[in-house]
Amino acid sequence: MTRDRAQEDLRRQRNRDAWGARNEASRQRQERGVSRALRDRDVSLLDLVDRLLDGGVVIHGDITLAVADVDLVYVGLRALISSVETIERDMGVSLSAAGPSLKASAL
Amino acid sequence: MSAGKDTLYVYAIADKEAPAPATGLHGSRLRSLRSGPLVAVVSEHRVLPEADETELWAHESVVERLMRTSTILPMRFGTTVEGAGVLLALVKERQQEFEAGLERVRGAVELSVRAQLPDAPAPVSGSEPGDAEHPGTTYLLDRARGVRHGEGLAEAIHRPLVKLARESAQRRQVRAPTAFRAAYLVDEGNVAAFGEAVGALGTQLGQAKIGCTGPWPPYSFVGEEVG
Repeated sequence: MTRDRAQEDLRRQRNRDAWGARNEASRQRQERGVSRALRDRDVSLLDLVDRLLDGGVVIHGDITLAVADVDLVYVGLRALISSVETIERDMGVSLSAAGPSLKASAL
Repeated sequence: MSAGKDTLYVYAIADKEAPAPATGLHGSRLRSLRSGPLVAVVSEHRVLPEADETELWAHESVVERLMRTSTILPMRFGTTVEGAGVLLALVKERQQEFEAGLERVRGAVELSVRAQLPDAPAPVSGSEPGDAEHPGTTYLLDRARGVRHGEGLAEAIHRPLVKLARESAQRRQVRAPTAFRAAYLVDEGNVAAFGEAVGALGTQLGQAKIGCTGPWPPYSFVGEEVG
């Protein structure tokens, strides 16, 4: 299994760019005041990130992770979800009654 | 990210084949590779997914569709294996573990609960053995009171919920002692009752803001950590 070094670097760069873009969007959103809908969506995203990148079965051995730098991605994604601590501090009581497009809708 | 010709992207270990026709990431065809009683659900990709918001949700929806028709152990996002032979050998090697894992989560889903606990009440000035001459002591006593207060409330949230769950996994958050975060493995038949219990807690605890998301595939209940 050969992995092209240049492509790997390019992908990491793209990840970094994506974080940068979202960080900026996140900052602007906070400046405007975040709507409840966005916060609910972000809480669901936070739960998603915690599960997909930090939970699940991990198989070791002769494998490659598509996300070689998965820890970095995890930390980055968590950090940019319009500030995890802000969500956790401000989380609204209406989460369980969120709209149909939200993960939270199931309850 | 490009992949080798035989790179398989793995979604889950399941107890039965994915119903055809099933679609994976990027509109790919889902394949079910059988190894004895177990099935690895995979797709082949020339370009592997990036860990961004869109792809994470896309991956999640594939796994959730699988969850409707079979009992599954979800893989961590981004798991790839070079070739069916390697994957089948891996599954065979861990067959016992995976079979036990499937029994552990059969008929259950994962629910996530987050709550924001109110801050501890302010100390009554002069009534504590800390004072201005010992600011460090005062700080530590305040911290300790905050932690005890948080633990009491976390317990008040956890106790009624864990009764409705098969298992739970709680994450201690050192940096945010007033944030409660836990995952519960709940029988499908108890999901509605669990939702009601979370609602009741919201009313009961007043200031404590509490929310629940799910049902999720059992991501937090596939490893060794048992809460």
